[in-house]
Amino acid sequence: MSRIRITDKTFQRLSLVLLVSILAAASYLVGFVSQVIPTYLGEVEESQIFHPTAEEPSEFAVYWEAWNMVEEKFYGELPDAQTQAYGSIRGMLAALGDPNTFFIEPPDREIEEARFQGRYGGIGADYTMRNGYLVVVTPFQDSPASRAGIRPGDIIIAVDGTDIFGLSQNEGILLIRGRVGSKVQLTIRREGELEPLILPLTREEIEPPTVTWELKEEGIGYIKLSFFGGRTNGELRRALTQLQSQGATSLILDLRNNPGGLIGAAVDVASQFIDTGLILYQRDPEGNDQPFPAKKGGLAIETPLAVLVNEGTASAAEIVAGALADHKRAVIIGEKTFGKGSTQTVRELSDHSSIHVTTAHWLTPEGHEIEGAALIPDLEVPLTQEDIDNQRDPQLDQALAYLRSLLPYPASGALQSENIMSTNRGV
Amino acid sequence: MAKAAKLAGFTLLMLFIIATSYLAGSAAGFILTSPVMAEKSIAPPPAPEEEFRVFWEAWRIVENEFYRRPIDSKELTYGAIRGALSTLEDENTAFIIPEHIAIIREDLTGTFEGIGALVEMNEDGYLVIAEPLAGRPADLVGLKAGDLVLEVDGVEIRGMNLIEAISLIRGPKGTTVRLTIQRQGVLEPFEVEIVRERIELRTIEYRLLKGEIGYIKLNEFNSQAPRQLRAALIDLLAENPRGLILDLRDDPGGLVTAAIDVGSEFIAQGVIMSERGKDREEDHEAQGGGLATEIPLVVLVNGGSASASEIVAGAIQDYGRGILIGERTVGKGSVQVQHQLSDGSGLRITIAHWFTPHGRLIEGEGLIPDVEVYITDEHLASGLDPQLELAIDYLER
Repeated sequence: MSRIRITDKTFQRLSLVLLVSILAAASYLVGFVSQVIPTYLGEVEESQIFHPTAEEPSEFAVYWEAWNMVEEKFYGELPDAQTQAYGSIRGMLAALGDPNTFFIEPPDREIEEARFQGRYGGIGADYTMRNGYLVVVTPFQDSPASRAGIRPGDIIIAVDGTDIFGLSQNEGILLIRGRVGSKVQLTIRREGELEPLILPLTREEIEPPTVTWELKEEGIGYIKLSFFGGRTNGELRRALTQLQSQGATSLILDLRNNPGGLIGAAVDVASQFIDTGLILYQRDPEGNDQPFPAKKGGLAIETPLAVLVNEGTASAAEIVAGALADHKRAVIIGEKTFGKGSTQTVRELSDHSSIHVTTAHWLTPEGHEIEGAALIPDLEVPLTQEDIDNQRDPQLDQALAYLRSLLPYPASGALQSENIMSTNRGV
Repeated sequence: MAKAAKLAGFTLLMLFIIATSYLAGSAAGFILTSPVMAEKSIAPPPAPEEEFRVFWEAWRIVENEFYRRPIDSKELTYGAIRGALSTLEDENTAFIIPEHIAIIREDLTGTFEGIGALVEMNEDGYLVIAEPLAGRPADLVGLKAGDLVLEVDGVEIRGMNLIEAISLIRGPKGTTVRLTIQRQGVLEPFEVEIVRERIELRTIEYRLLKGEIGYIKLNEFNSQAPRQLRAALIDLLAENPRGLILDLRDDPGGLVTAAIDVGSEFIAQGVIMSERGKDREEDHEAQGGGLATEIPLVVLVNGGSASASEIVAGAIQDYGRGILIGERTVGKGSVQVQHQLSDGSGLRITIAHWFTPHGRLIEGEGLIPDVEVYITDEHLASGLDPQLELAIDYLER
């Protein structure tokens, strides 16, 4: 009875063990990207090799009993074997009752891997789906898209002459992506233009930036982290160095709408601001807590800091905000965070489909669970639709006001307003 | 019936319905007349499909890595079955856990042990008392329509499905169940303790209207329905009424056999319904000997009339045996069979579509009444029933 032949080889192919965090659509800034972007927390590890027993569990017999009856009696079309297998996996995972444990079919997996690696052949833009077509949200700086004059709001109606209406967002994106150096032709409809524009582009290796920064005003640097990827810490260090050379003596770290990413990146980022102590605990299935301490060599361990968060701040971003809050290293401003504090391992199956399995939960340095418990800002400042319509950002304004109040005492390290820090703290 | 007989033994041919409202614990939902037996021998599983290998890969990963332990192989298996069935894209083909089998069986017999109330799940996922049955335990302790049941014996109900909630409320007669109730206008939730009793569903209600019209309301097509209908007809016909009104409004259906029996009381001969399934076709004929095959007849239907109700109403309409008054029906044109699996769980599978005598498939369409009459909120508020009134007018003319 060797019904299952899972060979070692099958699993040797599983070269990836990723720790992942997922965030739902609602959290994206200003009405745009409605895609669920998988983000990764953790590093690539050596996959363990399974030695499964050849026997199915005895409890599973009833599955075949049921399915045999369906095959014999069901009036209607039967699914193919792959659909059945995928459906069964989905159902099995659903039985665990954990929304972060789920199955992904092979095509989506390609996009995930690209995101994880941060490199793919593309034209360099973010998209959203509207009325069945892809709409450009942001062309990345110095990308084929921006050089070709593609603008936010451009509607992509065809790729290489193929109408993309009816395709999913991921399917559409996959059409645009391809081998680095290959050509792709986009048919674009733009407001104000009568005829569709036809733009030929050459795909390049795209590395979406995860850190943007600017000196907001005298002495106050602003850094926005959109994602915790493999290059984020390097980008952040470059930002810190440049801002400090421009005279920044206090900082705003904007983690709003940051869905998370690699857990290692979270530790690295927090370590730029925290000198000693813990960044987080990871609780494994046996209930053991593994501490992740701060790394030495942070560039801004004493710089006064305000952190902006909102409901789109999730997982790795919440770890960073939570660690900074627990260490009383920053004032947290904005709205309560998402509350996603678990680690997923992404496991690739032999047909390149994959499953995300929740393998651990995180706790802040003070031992607060993040999962299901939002981080409450020290200063709660809502962002209303009216603010968005008028392009106002009261959360940023609050951070600026707070840091300005500290300017007479620049770079002293400790924050002055103990009373602010002690209000409304909670996870 | 020869072919159907071949299916018997461990299976029971039945129709399911989309239940809108369940009787305390239970249901007008799906129904099962006699205990079904587990299959004795389990066929060896088919040769493993290459495609299924990924399932076992996923299974092992979950066993080895999922953060919460222990992993329950049975729960995973049940989940896998649900997932596999979902790929059939048929909402009527479903897996039933062992705990729910008993409830479904009780529903088919029309009796169970519980508190005696109709319950339903509202849009917010709360269990609501739709109607406490007069004089039964729920009514006697003062439960009212609209009460929300927050907890049963301290277990929170929200998030459960209806059958799960029902299975907690039902229990052996003489035992006590503690409900935590939230009532509109009362600030704090309160608890009531109710001693369960044997509850018989009112399968049929009947009376003589205006001294000359027989009115029969059939609430569901359980195994009691044909016998109770016959008794009702004998009573009513003894009064020599001018006509009959068969009220199938909000009757979600039940057993195919009950539908044929009920139809046969009104239709003297001919096919009542035909089934067409995989490799099988079967005509269900009127059995003859019906008590009310000549008397003027009106059938009341609405958007809650489903499956077995539609079989009876559809046959009456096709043969011109009576007229249909009311609103378009649900349109449940498929037939399910329920199997018990070896571990006590169950599986109901859509095995056929059924057609009216004139070959209509009503799936997704429903029956359109000969006279469409709608009941508005105003009618409800003032206790009016224009559908029934029109039926009476029609028969009096």
